[in-house]
This record gives sequence, structure tokens and C-alpha cells, in this order.
Amino acid sequence: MSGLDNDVGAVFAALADPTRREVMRSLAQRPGLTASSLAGGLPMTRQAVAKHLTALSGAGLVEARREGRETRYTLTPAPLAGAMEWMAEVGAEWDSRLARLATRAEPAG
Amino acid sequence: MVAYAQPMSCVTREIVLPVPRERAWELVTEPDELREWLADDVEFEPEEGAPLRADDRDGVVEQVDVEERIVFRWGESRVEWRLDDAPGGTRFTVTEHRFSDDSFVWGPRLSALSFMAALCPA
Repeated sequence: MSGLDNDVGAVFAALADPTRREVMRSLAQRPGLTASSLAGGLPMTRQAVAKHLTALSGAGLVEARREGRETRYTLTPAPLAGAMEWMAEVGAEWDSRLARLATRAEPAG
Repeated sequence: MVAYAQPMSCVTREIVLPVPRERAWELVTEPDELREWLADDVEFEPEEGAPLRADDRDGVVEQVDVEERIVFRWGESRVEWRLDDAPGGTRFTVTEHRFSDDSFVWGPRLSALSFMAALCPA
């Protein structure tokens, strides 16, 4: 594949920025987030997140999907599908465990 | 024994529990409490080297810093639990890392290993 090296270069350039890795980390754990919900969980503005998402989709790492008035983002690198699946699954498990723990920690009464 | 290599993928979650550190530590270390939220069937002792079980997962406690941090292995992962003071209570942070093993086949396109390591906090 002639484009392979360029693709890999673009991927690593996109990943060189710690903030973009942070964005990807969030997307890996919660696929289908919007730019606004991503910004809600990170210390940056929606505009900053949108800029990073553009860089990431330019590198083919993130796919944007229109849903009504919203755009949802998902990680795309195919070789990593197994890892992504694991992250989503394990993340969901911790979400339900921590929800039970939160109930348990509520003051009695 | 499985030969653990570099961490490959990880999951992080955090929650602020509206309780003091001491109570939070009980919630995450006492088997009776753990049965309420972690798994139905729990065997756990906050002691380094203690075997642990959560439903069908077996593991071992690797590190214990009382009221601060617990690291354990279960299944194919290593889990870190951390407690910190937070406004309104105690922050509980969970990080689960999965480790690579030889049975995992990666596609050739990228160095998946370094990619996933980059996604995990140091």
C-alpha cells in the first residue's frame, strides 16, 4: 500500500499532542460522544475539542457521524477494534459498579 | 503464569463518594461492602499477596497503601483503586489496564501496542 507510511505519519502526528490523546481516550471509552459532551468531560472548550477532532479525523482516527442536529464521533482504526471493544465493555462494567457504589455511599435515610 | 508485557489498553473512571476517607476505604475493602457493588461473590483482603476472587475472576492483591491505594490483578488485567480527598467527600479513581499476551493478534497497519500505550495515562 503506497499510502501506508503517510497514514502512519499522520496518525503519529495526530497523537503527538497530549490533548488529542486525551480526546481519544475519552472517545475510546465512550464511543459516539458529541464535541459538546467531550468538552464537558475535559478541561477545554467545545471549540478546542472540535479543532482536535478535525485533526484526528484528518488522520483517519476518528469518524464523524451526523445524527439529526448532532455530530457523533467514534474512533476508527480497524486494527484496534479489539482493544476499543474491550475498553467500551470494561468501561461499562465500571460504570455500573460505581453506580452501585454511589448508592451504597449515600448517607442513610 | 501469563507473561505480562506492556499495558495495552486501559479504562479510567472516577466518582466522588459523599463520605470521609475512612468510610470510603471500608466501602472498597470490606468483603460485605464489595458484595454490594463489585460482584456477587467476593473474596478480598487488603493485604499484599492476598488472593482475591470476584465472581468468576481470580487474582491477587499486589499493593496496599491504607486509605490511599490498592493495586490488584484480576483475570487478564491490573486494576488500581485510588482514594483522594475531594470537595464533598472522597474521590475514588479506578484504572484498569489490560496486558498483552501472545494470543492477541494485531493488524499490521499500526504499531497497536505503542498506540494503545499512548492512550493510557502514564
